Amino acid sequence: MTIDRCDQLVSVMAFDPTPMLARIGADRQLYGDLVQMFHEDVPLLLGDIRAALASHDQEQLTLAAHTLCGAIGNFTVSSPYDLAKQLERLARSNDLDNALSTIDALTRGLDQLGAALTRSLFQAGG
Amino acid sequence: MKILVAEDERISARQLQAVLKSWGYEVIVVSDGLAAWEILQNADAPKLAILDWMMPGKNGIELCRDIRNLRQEPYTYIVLLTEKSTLQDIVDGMNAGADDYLAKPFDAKELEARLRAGRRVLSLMDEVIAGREKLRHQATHDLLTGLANRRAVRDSLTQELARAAREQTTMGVVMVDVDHFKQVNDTYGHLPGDAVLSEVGSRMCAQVRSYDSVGRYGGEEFLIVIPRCDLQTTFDRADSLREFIAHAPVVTPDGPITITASMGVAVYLGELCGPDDLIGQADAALYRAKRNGRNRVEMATTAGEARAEQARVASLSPSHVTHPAGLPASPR
Repeated sequence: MTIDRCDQLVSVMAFDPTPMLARIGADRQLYGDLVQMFHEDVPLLLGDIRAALASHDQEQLTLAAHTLCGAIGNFTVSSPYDLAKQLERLARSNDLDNALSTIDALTRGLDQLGAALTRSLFQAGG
Repeated sequence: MKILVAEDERISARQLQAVLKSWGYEVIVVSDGLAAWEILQNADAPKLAILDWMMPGKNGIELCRDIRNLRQEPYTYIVLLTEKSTLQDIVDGMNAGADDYLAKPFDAKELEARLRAGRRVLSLMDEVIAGREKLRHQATHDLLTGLANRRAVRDSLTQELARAAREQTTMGVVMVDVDHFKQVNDTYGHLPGDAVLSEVGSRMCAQVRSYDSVGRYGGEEFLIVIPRCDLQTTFDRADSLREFIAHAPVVTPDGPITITASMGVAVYLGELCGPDDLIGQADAALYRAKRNGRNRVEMATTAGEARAEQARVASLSPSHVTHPAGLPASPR
């Protein structure tokens, strides 16, 4: 899947909170806390990724990309999860140039997912 | 039941904490491998652990290896929970020491079932260990008195002798024999006799240090191993024990029974000798205590003298050994 294609998919993707709610026993308060954590942690992880890329720190880049995958994967395994996975793979193979080119699309995808998560709080009754 | 969750990604950690708590677990959450390692090294560490693979400090695979190298018991049942889920990842994780493997994002029902399986394994392991410990206790302890049995107290003596030789210190042994025990059995019966032996054992245990060893050597005979004591100190401690044993009658359902004990003391002073030599010297001194009137402590002389004493005692016919109470000719 190309980066552009992922971007388009995210823009039209409706987020379904059902699997996450099932996992946490339909605890809407907890769901709200998890979404809040997403909003707090994702910018920090993106910052770590950018810093690791700037300093050519492959190990740190791999760890941060992996953690970001985990954070996204809690909510969806569609895009932008795919982009984060791709970034992690590029980091592991030390392909930092291509990793850098992934960041912008990933950031946009995360913004859209973040907005979808916020909307889902109301859909989920939160 | 306590469970450790080592997960650096906050959203996963928070979800796990919530669902595990709702299933009744006492959840401890850490966000890096080093913190998990600190907790898992404790004696009261959680027996169940859910570890992320990739973590700062120490990753899940390193943690698995370190835990397995650290100890076998108490066992830690480890579930690796990670996004790495290729066949090779699973093989690597299990080879490192993980017991189970679950891919992220986890399915709550699957996680609950896998943890239940882990608890079954831990429960079986507890039963096996308890059974083994019971057998170990039975093999090393005297059923009547609960003291170390002959083999176990001899093992303690062998170990302490080796330690004394290595550290160039002295150590003492005391051979104890309950006076006129045959009369107790003949007069009161075997159950009161058993009560006497049990009480003598308890009185000795109450008086020795935690690192001394007391064992039933056979019949009404006991052996005490006293590390880091010279001859005089060992003698003094034995004499205190003798007084304590005799200080009050043993209360039995058949009435109080006055008892005394004779003791022979020998000390390792750095000469080359084995446990049998030391026991032989203490035994020879015990014979002298019996011959000299009972309810007393005698010190072994040198090893050579002790051997001569043993040989002399062995050569005497029973008629040559007199006893003031007119009891059986053998000093015991």
